[in-house]
Amino acid sequence: MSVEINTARSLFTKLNLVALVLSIIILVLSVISSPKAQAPFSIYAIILIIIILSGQLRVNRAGDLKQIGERAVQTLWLWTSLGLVALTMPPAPYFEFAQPVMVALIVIGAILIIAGVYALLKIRKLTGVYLSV
Amino acid sequence: MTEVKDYFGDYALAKIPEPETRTFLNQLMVFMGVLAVWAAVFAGAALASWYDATTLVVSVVIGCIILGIIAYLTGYIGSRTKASTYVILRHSMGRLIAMIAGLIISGISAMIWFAYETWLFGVIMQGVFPDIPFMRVEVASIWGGLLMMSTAILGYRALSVLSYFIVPAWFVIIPMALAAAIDINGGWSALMAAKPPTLMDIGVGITFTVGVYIVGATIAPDVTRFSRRPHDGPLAWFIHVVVFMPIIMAAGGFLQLLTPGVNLAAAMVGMGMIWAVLLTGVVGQWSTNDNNLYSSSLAWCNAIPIKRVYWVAIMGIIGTVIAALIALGFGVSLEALLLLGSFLGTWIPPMAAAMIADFYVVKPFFLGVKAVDKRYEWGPGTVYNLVNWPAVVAIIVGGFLAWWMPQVYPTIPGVVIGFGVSLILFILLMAACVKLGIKYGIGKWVETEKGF
Repeated sequence: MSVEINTARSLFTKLNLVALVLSIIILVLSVISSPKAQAPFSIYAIILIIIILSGQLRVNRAGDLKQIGERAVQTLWLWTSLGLVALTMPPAPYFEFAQPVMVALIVIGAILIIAGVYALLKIRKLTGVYLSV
Repeated sequence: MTEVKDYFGDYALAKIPEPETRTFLNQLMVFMGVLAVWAAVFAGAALASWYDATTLVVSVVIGCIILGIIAYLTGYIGSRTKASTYVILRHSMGRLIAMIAGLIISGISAMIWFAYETWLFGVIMQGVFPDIPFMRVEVASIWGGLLMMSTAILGYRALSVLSYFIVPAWFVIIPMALAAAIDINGGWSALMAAKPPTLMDIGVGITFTVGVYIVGATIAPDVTRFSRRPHDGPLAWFIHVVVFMPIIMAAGGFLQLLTPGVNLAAAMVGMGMIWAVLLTGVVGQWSTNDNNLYSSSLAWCNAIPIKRVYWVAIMGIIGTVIAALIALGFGVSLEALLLLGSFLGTWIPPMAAAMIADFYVVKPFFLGVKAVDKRYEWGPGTVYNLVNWPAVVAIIVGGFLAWWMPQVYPTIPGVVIGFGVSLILFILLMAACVKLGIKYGIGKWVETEKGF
């Protein structure tokens, strides 16, 4: 059981770290972008960072496999869904993103979604908890 | 009382077993999935013709707090009994009236809203992609309706997964879009200065807000029965309505104040947020409408005992056909449909009142069932009254007042009056029956081993 716990926690931590790095990149990109994009995308990135860090804290404190699975799945759902924001909002001309920044944000959004779905399926398999936890 | 087999599927007439219960976040996501719909934004826009920004927010917040309290009370019954709304109604109204009430609350009403939302889905699709044949209102209504049926057929797990997927994004995209729309239409100072031509009494806005979501508050047990801890589901309902519903309604109202006649979806399209409109329109509408169909199927199972998936299919196909016929203009009047939905809706708050009064007042104080877990015991062999006449009288009187009073006195909050009158009348009638030894139950119904 402890092997499974370590495997699940380790997988979650790795993918959560990837999401954290991507969120920090979103924050940096939004800060260097147009004033119209700065506030909304910075807030969005900060929400992502808070979710990722609090999720990591909760999983680290979890005592058993089921608890790890539940807390991991909840965190993964939240940032996977929020990946949709980076995928759909930057192309709007209103935000005046430079073309490379816009492409970078869309790619980050896509990675968040793909990595999130992968992690959800793996954690489900490892811990046996429902995706609809 | 024995454990009942899940004969109808997704525990339509059976208690939710412990392994199938869900977390607080799950409940919050499912409720917010219901709220994540453009119709809620449009409802907020309607308030902008009556109020300035501050009064609009105050009226919405007060309305939402009232809704939150009502739903906390109904939702708690569901999380305690692990029963759907329609099974809960058996105790306060009697088995026969619970069948009829269930059909009024969800069986028919929710199907009507399913049809309306499916048609609206088609309208949004055509609005965003006017030149694509696949996105024409009538075509999009059909494939949209089938899409929404799919998760309702799979059941609560699918509703949850869809909600988890869309809700966090929806509730970030809409405020972002609102902030952008306010910015290009004069900013916050212009919003604060904007006033409608004539101001309405704040009570009208409160009643309007309560009316928008009172059905949702009444049927909260359909979801909270999956609650792992007794207060998880009710608290999730309270938070989603008090924190998030004002944001959504303000989103519609604020933009309407700044640019009358322009809705947020159109403004988003104008700002080039096409993909965001598509996402929030398609998946948001989907996560709301599958809940309509889900609740409708639960109510039908309580009235006519066939498997839940068949009811989803039957009601889903009827709703989709109605939506397509509205789009094609083939003899189905949208106005008549909404009128019927609204008329049925006026009878729902009195039913919620009877349910709340029975569980929290009549059972513990008049009938002496103090223990919360013992108040609504159910399962094979449980004997119910066929009709509880005090509930019928209270609902008819309250429902009539809720329907009639706003027609004669438009400023009187019919929904709130109907709820209040039914609550008090039911308690008084039951008190009289118990004290004077008058029989309040007519006939008997024994629950079968399938839970029917």
